[in-house]
Amino acid sequence: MPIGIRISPAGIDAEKAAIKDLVYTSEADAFKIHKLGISAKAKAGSYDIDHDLRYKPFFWIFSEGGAAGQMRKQNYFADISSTDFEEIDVATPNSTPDPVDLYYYIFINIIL
Amino acid sequence: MSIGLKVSRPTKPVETTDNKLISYSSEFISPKILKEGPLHFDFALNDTSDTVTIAHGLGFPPTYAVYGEVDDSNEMWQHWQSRGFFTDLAPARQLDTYADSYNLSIQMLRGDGLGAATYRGYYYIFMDIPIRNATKIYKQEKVGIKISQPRIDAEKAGDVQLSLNSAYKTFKVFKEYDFTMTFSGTNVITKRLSHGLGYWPAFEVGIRTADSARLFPLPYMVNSDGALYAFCTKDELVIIAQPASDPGALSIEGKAIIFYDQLAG
Repeated sequence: MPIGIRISPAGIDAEKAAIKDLVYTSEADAFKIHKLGISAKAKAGSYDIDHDLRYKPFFWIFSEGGAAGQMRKQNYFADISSTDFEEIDVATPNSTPDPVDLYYYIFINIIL
Repeated sequence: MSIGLKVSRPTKPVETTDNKLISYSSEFISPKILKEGPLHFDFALNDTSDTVTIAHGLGFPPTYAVYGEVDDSNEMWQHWQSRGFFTDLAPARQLDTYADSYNLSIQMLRGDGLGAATYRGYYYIFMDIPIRNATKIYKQEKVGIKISQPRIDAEKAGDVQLSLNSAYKTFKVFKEYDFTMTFSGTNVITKRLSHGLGYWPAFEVGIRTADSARLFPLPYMVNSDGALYAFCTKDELVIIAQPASDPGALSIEGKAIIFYDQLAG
């Protein structure tokens, strides 16, 4: 690559490594987290996680589910989506036994 | 941003490129991969369950991502989330994935009377979880590069607070795609996005319907409405829509990211 920056893991030659094996390269965009945090306790029903983006971002939601202390990436909530009205909507199922923490990651890379 | 480090892609001016399109900015944290590796689920004849457990040693439940084969033909890899159901070619198979303070656990279940099979997967464990005490340092490297977020001391910051640390890899975007799928009755709609990497890459996909302001991450499955899911092959990312009933005049827009990060192949 004639121009740019490459960062490789220790012990790996940055010039010879494939992009997939690098820590970072300016040949590719990094997957960037706009915001991460822990929501207030969410009960059964709907819950909003605010963001200040004016578009619909991509996100990951994790929460405790099943036995205590087990963190699950959420796709079993009844409804989960982001909007361009500055929030992510999480609809927890009626079976949610107790209020749970929602661990959220909002990325800036996917835009709709 | 008045302080910090920004890196644009070659030929793009760093001062005027929007953060959404910038290669790197210390304003943001990139997911740091603590641990990654292949998974194998081995089923003997009539076996109905296999569990793989990965120790992580963090002392708190971390964020994770798990991908794996749809079947044992080694062709199609899906993004496995918690309590996921396979959506085709896989009679009665289910998954349950979770992390606790010690392990990442992935359990695969299948129906009775099936033959011996091995299914491959790949996992990532990230250490960016927003724990309340975020200053813990997990991996001290004597050589390398640390970049902190603005106004945070890079030398004293815990790994979780760093924007970039060469002790950890991050996901690197290979390509972003916009796509549209238009329904026709209950026909299965397939969208194929070529990537040409020659191996199975990690990916993310989100969709929205034309009349909705919401973005839904895939896989998105509602029993009464059908299923929306995606899988990758060595050459393509494939998005499938299976309506359970005629949705009428409906089209969906989507956005997909394919990463350079390699799952297999």
